[in-house]
Amino acid sequence: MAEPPLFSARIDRQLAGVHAFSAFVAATLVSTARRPFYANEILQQCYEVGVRTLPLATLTGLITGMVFTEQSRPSLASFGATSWLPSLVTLALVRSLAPLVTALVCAGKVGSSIGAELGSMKVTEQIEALTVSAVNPIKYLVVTRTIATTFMVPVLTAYFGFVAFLGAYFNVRSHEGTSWIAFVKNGFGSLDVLDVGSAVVRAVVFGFTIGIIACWSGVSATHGTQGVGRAANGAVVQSMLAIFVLEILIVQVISLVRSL
Amino acid sequence: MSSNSPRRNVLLGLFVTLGAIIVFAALFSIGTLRESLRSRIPVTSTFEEVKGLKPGDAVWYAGVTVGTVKRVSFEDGVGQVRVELRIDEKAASHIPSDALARIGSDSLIGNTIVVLYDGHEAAGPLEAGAHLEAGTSVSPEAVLAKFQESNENLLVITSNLREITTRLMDEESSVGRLISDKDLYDSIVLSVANLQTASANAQQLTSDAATFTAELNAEGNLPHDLVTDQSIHKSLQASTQSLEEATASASALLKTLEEDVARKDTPAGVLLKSEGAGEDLEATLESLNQSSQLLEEDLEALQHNFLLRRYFKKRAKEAEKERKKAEGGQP
Repeated sequence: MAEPPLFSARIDRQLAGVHAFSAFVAATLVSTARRPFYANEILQQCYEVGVRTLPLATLTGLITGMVFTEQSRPSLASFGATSWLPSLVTLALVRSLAPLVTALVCAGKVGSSIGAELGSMKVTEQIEALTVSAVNPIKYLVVTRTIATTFMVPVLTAYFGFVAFLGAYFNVRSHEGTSWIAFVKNGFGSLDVLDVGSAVVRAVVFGFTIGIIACWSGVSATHGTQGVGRAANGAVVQSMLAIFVLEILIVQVISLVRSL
Repeated sequence: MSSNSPRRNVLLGLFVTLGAIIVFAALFSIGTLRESLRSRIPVTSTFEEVKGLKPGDAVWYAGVTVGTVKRVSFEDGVGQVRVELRIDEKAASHIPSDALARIGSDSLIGNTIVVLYDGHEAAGPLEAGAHLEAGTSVSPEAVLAKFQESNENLLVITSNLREITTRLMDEESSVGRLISDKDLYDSIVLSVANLQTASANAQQLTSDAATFTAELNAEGNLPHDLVTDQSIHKSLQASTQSLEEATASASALLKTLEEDVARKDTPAGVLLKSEGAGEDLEATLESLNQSSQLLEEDLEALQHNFLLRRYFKKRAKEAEKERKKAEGGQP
């Protein structure tokens, strides 16, 4: 006889899902430290996550830099402070825009890809086949992809930041005629170690989040091909939501560190 | 309840969710907690205007943030604004209790803050419950007004300067003529050159006078001896005395001569006063004149005498020879 729900059937299902996800994360972290490491698979996933996202990161980075600079100009121009544009843009890019936008782009591109791939493997019982073949699916499928996103999102963030910086420079150059040397000097002069460190921490956390949530969405897919679509969609939506929540948390932590 | 029962999974999920919420809450409240745990003392001040000051704004002392604004409220029936501050206890020990408070800004267009300044060390450190006197606030508007006043003064100065330069450049004015008239300039240059020459001459004259005076004062010279030599002085004294005696003798002689001239029985009186003696003297002079003419004729006749003619011819020839010789020697 089935037990009565603790709160309600829906809330119980959500809470059970939270537990399953936390257990999944724990299993992934434990498997990460154990052999075998599947280095070739990790490299393959790094290629899929990193290299195949470069064109998208380039386009979004260039546009983000140019648009942010263009939109910031009127506010600074009203104070006659357009010379502060390089430092403003650099600070905004390093502290928030580059990690956040890169993570959102990867969540859309990589998260949906992993969710759909693992979802289809789940509904076609390939994951069970791996288990039968004495291959740990978490080790082979989840850990490799999570490591790949955790390493490649920071790399893409750095690349995104550089391209956005270039886009900002093109915009400033066309309006104010600022030289490259002056732009770089003005821009990087306002940065400190904590800014760069917080950007790296953000990118690592976002990368891990995208990988683990996308894999979770994939391996928890059900109901056939419809479930694959839901897994891909869930990977994107949940990753983005998690990224924003984590952004708030990280900002709070960084502020605390700054005040020490 | 089995280890894989749905109820256990739900409870674990609830535990994880609660744990996540606690972590969130802790992270967001830790900043506030730190602020509330910080030891601070209450201080008040009263202002006529606070320029939008609000709770949470910073309090500065010597450019360091030493506290925050706790509350801003109107004082009862006074029409002034009471501002309650919270000052860090550690910082308060460095702030004199007679420090002044004013409303300021952390930059030209920045946030409104309370600035503590001045005060004397002898007054002791700031203590809880102290009331700080309000000082004079320097607002950006006041600074801009001062700038405006300075600008107006600058405008007047530049206007005056322009008028002065215009007048200077006017060719009819004295300075303008001096600047533009070349003849006047040359004349001034010439005058200056003459002045320089006159000055040089005067200098030379002064130098010569100094040299002359030095020479006069040199030992052995007459002026020096006159002034310094006692024997010359005595000699001069003696000469003067002799001169006085000679003068006295001459006076006596002249007196005697005048008396003799006045008398007709003296030779001088006869010569100067007697008419007959004058006529005789005139006749004598006339006879002498006639005798001289006769003697000249006799001498002329004597030159033509055959005894003496040869001698005179010889003298004439020698004289002619001497004359030619003198003419031939000249170039």
